[in-house]
Order: sequence, then structure tokens, then C-alpha cells
Amino acid sequence: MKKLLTLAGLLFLVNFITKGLLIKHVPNSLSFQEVGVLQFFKIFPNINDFSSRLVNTFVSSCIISLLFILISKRSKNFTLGLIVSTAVSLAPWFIILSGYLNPYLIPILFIILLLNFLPNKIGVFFAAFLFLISFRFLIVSHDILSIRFSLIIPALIKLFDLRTLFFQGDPSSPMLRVPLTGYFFYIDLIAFFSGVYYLFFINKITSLKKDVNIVLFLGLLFFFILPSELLMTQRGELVFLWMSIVIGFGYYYFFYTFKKINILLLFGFVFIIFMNFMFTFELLLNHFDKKNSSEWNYAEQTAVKYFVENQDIPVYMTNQSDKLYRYWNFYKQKGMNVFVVTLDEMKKACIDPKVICVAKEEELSFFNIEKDDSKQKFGNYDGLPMYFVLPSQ
Amino acid sequence: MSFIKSKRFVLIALTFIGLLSFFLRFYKLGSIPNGPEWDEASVGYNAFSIAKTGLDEWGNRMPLIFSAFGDYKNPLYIYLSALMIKFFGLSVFNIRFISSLSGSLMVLIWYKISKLAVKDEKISLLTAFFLAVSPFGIFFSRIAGDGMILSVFLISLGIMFELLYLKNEKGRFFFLSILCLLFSLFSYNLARIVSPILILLILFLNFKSAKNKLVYIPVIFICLVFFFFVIKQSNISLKSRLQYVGIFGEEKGAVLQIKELREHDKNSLVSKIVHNKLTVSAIVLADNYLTYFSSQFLLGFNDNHLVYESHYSPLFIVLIVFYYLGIVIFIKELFGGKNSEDRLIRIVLLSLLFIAPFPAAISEGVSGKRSLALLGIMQFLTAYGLVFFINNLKNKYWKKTIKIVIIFLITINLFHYLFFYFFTFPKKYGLYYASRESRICQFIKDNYYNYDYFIYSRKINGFAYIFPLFCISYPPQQYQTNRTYFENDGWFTVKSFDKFIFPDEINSKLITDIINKKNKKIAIFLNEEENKQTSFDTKSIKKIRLPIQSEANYELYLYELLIL
Repeated sequence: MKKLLTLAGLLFLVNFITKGLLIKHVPNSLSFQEVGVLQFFKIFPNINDFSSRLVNTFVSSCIISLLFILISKRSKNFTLGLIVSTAVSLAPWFIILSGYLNPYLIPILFIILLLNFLPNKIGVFFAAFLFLISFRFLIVSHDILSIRFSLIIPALIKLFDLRTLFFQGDPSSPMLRVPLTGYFFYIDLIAFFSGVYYLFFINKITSLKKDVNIVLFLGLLFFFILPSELLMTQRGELVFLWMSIVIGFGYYYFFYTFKKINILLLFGFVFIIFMNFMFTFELLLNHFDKKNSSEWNYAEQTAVKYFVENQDIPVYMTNQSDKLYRYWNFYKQKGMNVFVVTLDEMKKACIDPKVICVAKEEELSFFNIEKDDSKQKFGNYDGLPMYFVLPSQ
Repeated sequence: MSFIKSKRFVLIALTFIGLLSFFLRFYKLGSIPNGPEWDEASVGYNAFSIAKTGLDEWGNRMPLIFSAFGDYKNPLYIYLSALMIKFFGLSVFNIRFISSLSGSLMVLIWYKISKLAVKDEKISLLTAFFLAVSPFGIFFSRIAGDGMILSVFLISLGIMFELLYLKNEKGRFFFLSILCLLFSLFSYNLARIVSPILILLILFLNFKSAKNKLVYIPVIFICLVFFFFVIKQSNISLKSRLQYVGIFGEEKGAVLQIKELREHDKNSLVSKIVHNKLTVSAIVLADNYLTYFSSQFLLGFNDNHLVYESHYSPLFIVLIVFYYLGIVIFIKELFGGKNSEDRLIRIVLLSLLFIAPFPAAISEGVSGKRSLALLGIMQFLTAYGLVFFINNLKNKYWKKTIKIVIIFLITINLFHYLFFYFFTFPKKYGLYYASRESRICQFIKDNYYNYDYFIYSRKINGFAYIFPLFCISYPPQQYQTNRTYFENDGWFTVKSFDKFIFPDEINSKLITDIINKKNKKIAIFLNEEENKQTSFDTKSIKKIRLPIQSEANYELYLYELLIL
């Protein structure tokens, strides 16, 4: 038991430190979703403050440690526990959910906690069910539940689509999608099938099988009750958790088989996994934020930073810049003056050199200026300008 | 369920499945789908030309590849259709006949393959049934295309002979297997990727077990002869085809991805090492490849509105789980304690499964027709998975209930598909099967002697000339002497022949030219756009509106001009 807890603690630390180091970079701006969560708790951080994301890093580290304990206890096999929890911890979908402030890791944590500490499976199921329903109505949406099978079936097919899972990622939005990557690594595809085989045909530990099946069952239930507008990563997170666990079993089975056949084969396999991990990690670190910066409000964040730096100067914009205004609203306690006006009013206001006038590209023609004539541009991370500070009229 | 093993039951069941398969493939073959569409008309007319003169439409004697529109059609389907047309005349039914026959016979071939592979009558009969009612099987058997289903039929036949060889070790089966695969190379382009790999695999697998290695001499010889012709033929067609449909062109997905990723890193050295044609293309290729095992493809939620796409899923929704299960179990049993003969059979079938998506994976977009080699093996593995699942249910009550539920769901899905195919599809997708051109064709056929000229622009149809050629079975010798045409970027455009004129568009200059044709009676067809733009400054116009049986709502106008 002592060894188990020590290893779980170590796993927690490694997870917390490695993922904690990423919070400022991946992604490098706060999204509306995160801003929404902070506003819910009446928290208004500094524009450069990403520390709120540590909450998710903490929760995700707890999940990994608890999962390790669960699998190790059930199987009485530390290696299996370690491989499964590592497979979950490194899965792209889990890294992304761990890296920004969102409430969606809480159901996972709750279910893993239940599986660890509640011996009765039916009890686990009902407690989890009640929790998921409450989560759905209290946190996600207060709307009345309506399940439309015409929408559910295509969504379910997309959820279990191998191409989406292993190569393309979230089909509902690029926000949580790493370029050229699915929810999992490419090599996980083989591990998944091997894991299914291991879990259902080789593994004889019924309690472990039951736990894993409960996760899938609850995952499908969660998918059904969540609103269809939600991102697929969030709707399907428990199903992805189940898949990651199965993938972990698959890797264990591979390692076990390869070790028996030839140790060189094992090293070769580990090398391929490592290369796949490095390739995906490079995409996550260097391309995730660039590719998706518009979804993560990078342009709005840089614009607000500029307003903060010039906080005594009033800012004018039209309702075309609604997204920027909403984003700025979050930081408005800083004592800045931002006015949403019509184009004509803005033209008059901009005569004064001591104001900041912000326009969108489609509004520039009204002021007879080209993009390059603007005083300042705020764009997406990959360079596409979104907002322009007009020169004095 | 011992009755399943009785020969009488098997014979009755197989006869029923066979008849069902023939019925679903031949019922209203000449009218559903609408047609002939472009390629069918081209295949049909070239076959007609061969049957009448031994020359194709461009005057080449017994060509190895047909230039057609400039898209280079494979010869086997055209030559086989020429035989039909020689005896029964040029018609939509006769062009599609070879396809339908191949598709129907495939059902029996896969019954045999299944029996050779697993010796389980339930699995074999289910395989035959699933193939008989398969949406892909029915759809692709009812269009001529470029001989798609014929190529899959030949590949299946090749596989069947190979399994017979592995069972009986009779050299003639080995020879026939290779011969079928070699012939498939001349039917549709997918076989040019699938068949050579299968041939190499078969040569390799059989080498060890062959008692008489001398059998390899004629086999290798015939392979060399066929490949000589394929290479000769490919010099003309394959390169242009790959550039057109492949994923590796300059402005194609993989290259654009590389550009974008490198721009993110400002073209750094690391970025060039990590994001290059090898890595990104490999991922795009793997991604494309996996599409053909993905639920979105198998359950067909890609409604891409293309001709030659079935617009329905290849598998019935209830069967997808059993397909996956079948794959997993079949692979698992490859490593089980089976004898070497069974293992070799499994290797051949699994190779077919994993090779079949390659032609589609190297081309852009999701394509049912290029992945058609999956037909047969997909149904076999589904049947395999289903029987495995049912056999492993221990509780008798559950076994019975699940069987009833599955039969019920398959029946609903089947009727839904049949309703879709025979009622919804012809209306909704008629336009893609040239319903508009067929109407023009019918008019021309009925009124050929009533007019001096028939005019319709290539805006109505890019290769308009082929339809009147087809529908009035215009004599090829005359066509080759009186046509005018030009070639642009490898594509042939016919401007006129006989009474038919196909301008780029109907404009005022053309109208002036028409007015100059004194004392002539002209039928001119306009699409909606042309109809809005064109006005005839003459009183002698009779306007007829052709009814088009299509929900696509494309209007077509016919003006009868009598120039006085």
C-alpha cells in the first residue's frame, strides 16, 4: 500500500509539474470559455495571468494518480496501472482538457473517485448518474433535456469514427484540435484494438472489466444528456477516457507479448511510440495555438493588453467589434473607458488624437484608410490582422 | 439449427439468395438509375463502334485503351459490352448487363470463398445474403461506369481460385487465379493497384507449397506479357490520371498542410525536418486509408452528390459492430492453432481487406468506387463477426431475442434502402445520371427526321455529342467522317456532326448564324441561364418545355425555330 501511494504521489507530481509548465503556452491566450468560468466565480485576473489554469492541471493530476491506484488495486499489477495512467495522461485530448480552465474534468475525477472508494458497482452507477445529471443542469446548461435521435446517431457515429479519433480530432470546432492529430496518437489505433482483445478475451479480472465498462456506459449516458452544441471533446470525454484506458491495456498487452517474443521488438515498439509522441507534442507546442488562435481570442487579448497599457485613453469601437468589447468587459475594473458607438460617431471622436479608435477590416473603407496605414494591428497568432487602431482623422 | 447443415436447405437458401441477387440487380436495369450518363454513353458508343467496325470512336483499331473523352477508358468492359451490343443492339440495359451479371455472380463466388475459408454454412450463406442486399453491391452492379464491378468480380474470382489452389493444390487453379487478376487490370483502375500486390502475394505464398515448381514458368510468362501491355497502356493514361485524382499534386491537401506548418515556424530547419513530404504525406495517406474502416464511411454520412457514389452506406447500420468484431476475431485466429492451409487462406483474405482501400487512399476525397475491392470481404467479415457473436451467447433466451432483433433491424434497413434506391434516388439524384440529357436524347430519337438541325451548347453538357450518338445509334463510319472537333489539354471536344451542333454557349452571334440558315427547321435546347439571356427576334418560334423528372429542379427549354 505504501509503495502504491508513493508511486501515485510521484505520478501526481510529474503530471502537475509537466502540465503546469505548459499553461502559459498551450494555448497562449484566455478563451471566452475560461473567462466565463472565472466570471462565474467572480474572479477577475490580470491580463497576463494564466495561473487559474493550474486548477485544471491539479484536477488532471489527481485523476491520473487515482486511476493508477484503481487499476493497480484491481489488477494487483503496478505495471498495468502505470501504463494505463500514462496512456491517459499523455493522450492529446486529456492534455488539452488539462491545459485550460474548464469544468469538464470534474465528472472524470468524480467517477474515478467513486470507482476507487465505493465498493458497490450499482451504487457507483447511480451516484455517478445523479452527479452527471446535476452537472449537466447546474454547470453546463439549464435548458430542459431534449434528446433528438436524428442528431444523436450521426454524432455518435462521429464520436466512434476511427478517422476522427486518431487523425482528425474534434469535428465540432478546431478550438480543441491539434493540427494533424486526433484525440489520440496514431499508434494508439493498434493499441486500442489490442486493448479490446486483452480486456474482453484475456483479462480474467471481472471487477476491472466491470469498472471499465461502467466508464463506457456512463460516457455514453453523458454524451446523450449533454447539449449537442457542446464541443465533441467535452461531450465525449468519458468515452475518450474509456478508450484511453483500453489503449493502456493494449500497450500493456503489447509490451508483455513483445517481451516474450524478442526484447528488440519491444525496444522497436517503444521507439515508434516515442517518435509518435514527439511528433504530436511538437504539433501541440508549436502549432496548436497558432492554428487556433482565433478560437482562443488571441487578437482580443493583445488588443486588451494594449488598452491596459494605455489605460487613461478612451477607446472607441463599433458593434462590429462586439467580440473585443465582450472580452474587454472582463477586465473593465481597470478603469478604462471603452465606448461602443456608430461609425459616424466614431469618425467624429477620432478627430481627437488622444483617443484610440478600433475598427475591423470591413470598416476601414469608411475611414478611407488602408490596412497598412493603421497605427496598430491586433491579429491572430499566425499573423492575420483582426482589429486596426485608426490614425487620427 | 442442424437443418442449416442439410444439403437441401443450403440449396434452397442459396437459390433464393441467388435469385434475390439477380432480381435486385436486373429489375428496371434500363431505367434506374436514369441514363445513360456520360461514361455509360461513351462506353456504350465505343462498344457499338467496335461491334460494327472494329474501330473505336476515334478510328483506332481494337485499341488497348479507349481515348473516349480524353479520359482513357479501360478496354475489358467495352469489349465485353461490344459482344452484347453486337447481338442485342445499343441500349442502356445492354451496356449495364455485364456489370449486373458480374455483381450477381459475385454473390455466388463469395459464398464459395467463404465456404473455402471457414467451412461454416451459416457464415457462407450470410456472406452471400449480405452481398446480395449490399447497398454498394446493388448500386455498383447497376451502372456500367468504367467496369468497376467487373474488376471487383475478377479480383474475387482470382481470390476464389487461389483458395481452391490452397485447398487442392491443383496447378490449374493457381493459373486461373493469376489470369483473373491479370484480366482485372484492364477493367478498372483500382485493380492496377490491388491486383499486382495480390499477384505478388499469391506468387510468394504458393511458392513454398507448390509441389511442382515448373507451373511457375507459364505463370511468370503470362504475367510478363500482361504487364508489358499494362505498362504500354499506362504510358498514356496512368500519369495524367494520378495527377488528376492523386493526393500528391502541388495544390493538394498534404502540400498545403506542409506549407502552413512551416510558415508557423517561419521555415526553420527543425520545421523542415519534422514537416516534410514524407511525414505529412504519410499521415494524410494513413488518415485517408483509415477512412475506409471508419464509421463515417461505413455508415455513409458523406452525401457528396457525385456520379458513381452510392449515396447510401456500404453497410447496414446494425452490422457495423459485427464487421469490426469479424476483423478482430479473424486476425486473432490467424495466430491461433490453425493448420498452415487455413492460415494461408486467412492471410490471402486479410491481405485483400488491407490492400483494397489503397486506390481510394491515394486519391483525394472519400470514394466508394475506388474502395470497391472491399466488396465481398466486408460482407464475409460481417457474417463472420455476427456468427461468432451469436455462437458465444450462452443464454438461450438472449440468443433467440438478439437474433430476432438483428433480423428485424436488418429487414428495416433493407427496406429503407430499397425504397431509397428505387424511389428516392432516381428523383433526387437523377440529374447526376443525365436525366436532362436523356430527355433531349428521347426528343432527338423521336424527331430526328423532323428537323434540319439540333443545337445545344456544351453548357448543358460538357460532352454533349455522346448522347445523340448513343440514342440514335449513329453509324460510326459516318460519325468519323463528318464530325468536327478540337483537343484541349488532352480532352476531346466535338463541335458538330451530322445535324448536330454543340457550341460553347448560345449567344447572339450564334443566333445570327442560325437566322442565316434559310428554310431550315431547327430544334434548339437551352438551359435556364441561356433561356434568360437569349431572345429570338422572329415570330416563327414554337416554344416547348420539356418535363424533367428530377427533384433537382433544373429547367430545360426547347425552342422550335422555323427560319423563313
